[in-house]
Amino acid sequence: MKKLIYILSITGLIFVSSGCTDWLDIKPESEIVLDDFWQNESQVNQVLAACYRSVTEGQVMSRMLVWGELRSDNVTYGRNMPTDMYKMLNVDISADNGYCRWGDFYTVIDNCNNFLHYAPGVVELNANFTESKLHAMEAEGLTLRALMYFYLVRTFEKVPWVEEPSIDDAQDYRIPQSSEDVILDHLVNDLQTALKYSRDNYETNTYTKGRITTNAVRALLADIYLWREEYAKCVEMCDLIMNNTDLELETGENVISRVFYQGNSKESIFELQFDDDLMFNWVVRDFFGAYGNEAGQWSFPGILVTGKFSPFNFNAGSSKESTEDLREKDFLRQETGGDRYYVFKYAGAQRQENATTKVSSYYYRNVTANWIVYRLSEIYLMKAEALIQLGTNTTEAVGLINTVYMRSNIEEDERGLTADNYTSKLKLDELYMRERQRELMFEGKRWFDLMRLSRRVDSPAPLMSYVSKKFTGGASSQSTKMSVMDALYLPVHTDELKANSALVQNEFYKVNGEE
Amino acid sequence: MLAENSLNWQPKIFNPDHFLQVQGSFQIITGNSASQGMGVTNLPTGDIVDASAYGYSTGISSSRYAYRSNALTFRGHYTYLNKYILGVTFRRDGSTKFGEKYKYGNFPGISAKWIITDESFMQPTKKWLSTLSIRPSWGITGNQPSAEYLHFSRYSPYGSYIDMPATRPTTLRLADLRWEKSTSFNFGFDLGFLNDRFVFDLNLYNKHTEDLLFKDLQVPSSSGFSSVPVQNVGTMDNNGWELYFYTNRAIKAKDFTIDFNFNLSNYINTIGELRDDILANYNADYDYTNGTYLSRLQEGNSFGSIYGFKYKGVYQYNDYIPEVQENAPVARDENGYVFTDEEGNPLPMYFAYGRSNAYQFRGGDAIYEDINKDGNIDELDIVYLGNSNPKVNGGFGSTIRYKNFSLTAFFNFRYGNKIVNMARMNAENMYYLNNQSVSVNWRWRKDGDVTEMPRALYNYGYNWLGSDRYVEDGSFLRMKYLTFNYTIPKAKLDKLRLQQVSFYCTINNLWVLSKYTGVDPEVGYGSFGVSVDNSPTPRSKDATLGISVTF
Repeated sequence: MKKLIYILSITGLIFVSSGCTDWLDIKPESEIVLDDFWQNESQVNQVLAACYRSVTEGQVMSRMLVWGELRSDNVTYGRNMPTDMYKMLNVDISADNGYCRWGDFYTVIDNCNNFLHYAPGVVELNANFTESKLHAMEAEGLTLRALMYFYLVRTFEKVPWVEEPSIDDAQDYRIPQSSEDVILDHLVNDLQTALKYSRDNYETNTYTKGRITTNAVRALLADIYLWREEYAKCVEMCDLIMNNTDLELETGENVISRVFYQGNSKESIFELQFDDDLMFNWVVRDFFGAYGNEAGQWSFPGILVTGKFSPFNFNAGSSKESTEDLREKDFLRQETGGDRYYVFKYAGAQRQENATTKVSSYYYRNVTANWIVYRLSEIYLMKAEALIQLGTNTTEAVGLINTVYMRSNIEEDERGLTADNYTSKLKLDELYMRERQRELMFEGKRWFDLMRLSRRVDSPAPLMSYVSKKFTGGASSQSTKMSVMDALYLPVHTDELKANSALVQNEFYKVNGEE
Repeated sequence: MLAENSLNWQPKIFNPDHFLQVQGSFQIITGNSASQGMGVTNLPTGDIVDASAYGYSTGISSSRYAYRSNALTFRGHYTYLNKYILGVTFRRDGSTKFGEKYKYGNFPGISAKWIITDESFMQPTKKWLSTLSIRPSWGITGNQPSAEYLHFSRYSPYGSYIDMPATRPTTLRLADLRWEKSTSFNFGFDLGFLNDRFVFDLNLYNKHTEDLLFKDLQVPSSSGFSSVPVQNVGTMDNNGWELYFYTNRAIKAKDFTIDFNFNLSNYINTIGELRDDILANYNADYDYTNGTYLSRLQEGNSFGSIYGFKYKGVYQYNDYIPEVQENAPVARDENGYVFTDEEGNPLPMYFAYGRSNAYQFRGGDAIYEDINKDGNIDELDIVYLGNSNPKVNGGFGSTIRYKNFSLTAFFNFRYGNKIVNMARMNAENMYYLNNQSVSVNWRWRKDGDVTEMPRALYNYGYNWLGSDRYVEDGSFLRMKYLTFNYTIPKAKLDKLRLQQVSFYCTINNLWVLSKYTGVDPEVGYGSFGVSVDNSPTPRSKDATLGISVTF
């Protein structure tokens, strides 16, 4: 029996010693756990870089383009378009369409949330990391987050508002949608804070263009004010940007090569930076084309290149607009021996026109492209749009549009746009819409331009009047699918509804039998 | 790396009726792994024909993992009079895969056996009832997730932006990750007749699993994450039985012996509790697309039920003409009368009427039964089409020996399960540019054609909705193997100093009897969804010839 006790006590001893949990605590070698992170300035910098980097992910980039442009009158089928994109192009939108997924935007938002939550704690730990450094970086995080939310709100109208970092699975992530106003109020607040601390420029030009500057915050605010129909505030923001001497319009001849091919031009305000080796911009390459892949998935509707609906050679009262518009040749290229007009903006490196034969040679890009979020010419057009809506100073509005217009139009008499031709509000609206189409086509803006038109009158009709032109055969089936304002927003993806019972589907896309 | 120390103790007990054995052991497992990855995409292909086209790197990654676990085990074995047997085990496991609170799991077990035929009161029946014993047992076992570091919120390198190196949070900390614990009850009966010439072995079991570990669970993506790798989400029950029968020289005549064996089994998996969002995930709304079946996962019910439309052939005509062209796509009431509008025109049959993908049926389209007679095929016309789980699984075989020859055959079978023949669906849908089965030659081509095969519609129409057209009975009987064996008599081998020499020939999967039209009816089942056959490579029919020599 003694033996038994002896053995039992030994096993008991082993038992106790095995209770030492330290031995069973191992931390990852190739990763850092949260408790050990957020110790120094370098780590704060790294997470801020991750905020930017996550915006350049293909899943985010492609949505900025698809949401902002695909359904507009600027885009039709090019080549090898993916099924989900093709369906959306034809307004055949169901809640299982991959482009209705918003998760990758929230990944950026969560990166920003983590940054904004933990970065302030580092100030106490690290003497070199000062309050002012922190605030300048916070301005960047707030603005990037606001940019993501602004895309979401314009695309889905109502989305969940999340500003807390996601840390563990015990948190309740079933967050209901907030209304557009609630979210936009948050964004305006955040951006006003950002304006206080943001930097005007950085050490290098690449940083100044590739990171959030004061002008970038203003541009985003101007865009939000325009969307919210707060025109006076929009004008105010635009003026602050335009008074800035760092920014300057490139000459019309140089736009295609300087602004879009080389990138980081003097008119660029905020431009996502890509890299050939580490972060290639495959979205621009696939959608628009590049060297070796001249036909992209998108093309411009042929019916809008010539004919009465075209923004080029447009009959505006006493004179014609855009008879010799560089942008018609620089941003589009007719398929050799075909009738498609493929995208040359971003896809191209330069165009050379033979002086005698007037035939152009097109040279394509073989390096990655940056992606311009805001540039100066859009600020001119934003301000013009706001002034037209205010109705107080339409001459200045025409003047602003003319500035953008004239750099790309060589007219012998150099007359440009005359205010006499655009007397009514309707004519002015149509003018700025045409100029935005000519200037900003394929920059992920057009659908939102059209949405602003429709939101002003709370009816899809103005939007449809533009979009229907690209559909052959009257577009009756497409117009029934865009008959109400709800239909202009995208549905919440089915997987999202399943994962989050607090979400409510957009009325238009509700399946029969759902409450 | 594994290290194990164990201690055995067998006390000398003077009363020979008692026998006790005790073992304790301590086990340590440690391990490391490392992986490296590198990716490049958009290299030249059929789409990108320029050989100098840019490939771009999707990144280089490397990761290292380490894990440790320990286990303390205690086993006791006690026998009294060789007919009462008791076994006790206790195991305490610790693992690095869990957080502070849940590192250890305790897993006890107990088993007993009572050999009733050894009791004196069973003596009278011993002549024919050679074995009767019962074996009850109970135990808890644990299961841990396969991945490491789940209970940490981790930051990993994430390329760079411009020239700023980036690091981002990549995982959600799993705050409440626990051991998955299964409690099993097993009742076994052993029955042997006529000196164990005929033996039955019956097992009834119930396994109740708590803190079920589910992998890759969706989280609302507004968290910034799309899924969590694993969570404890509910309970599941697994009930089943197995019957095994075999003989020892059942029939014996001179040099002949014949033996039989036979087994039957079945089990049912039932969800006890499951988190709401996971249930919702499995119980999707009908998505109005071709080729999908609905399945339902309900607490307290077994799963694998198939739901879909009833397929009723093909509309012979496009236009309805009373008495002449009756088989046309028009809406009918329960008595078969055609609905008409105010002007007396027949009302057409619709799919998903009032939805963005509404479709009006035409001649040559598939007919789906309008269960609720509302002139519209929609989710309300979906009915139960069968269950993926078999009513019974089994096998039987026999061995015949004559002198040194032996012949063994074994058959297995499954009865009463339904399979969705997805391969046939894809070969008959005529919806894409894919190759199709020759059966599509009999498709509907013009008004009046009588056929079971709808017309061809490229990327259009609803001719292959999930319906009973592709749900087939998966019952089968398969000759699993046939083995012929000849052993050279021992006497002849002694000269060659060999122990044993035998020649054999085995043929596997010789034939299958089944009404199932796919290549192989033995399709897996038991997952949460329905049993689907995508026509993987069927079991091969093969033969093996061999010689085995023992020195």
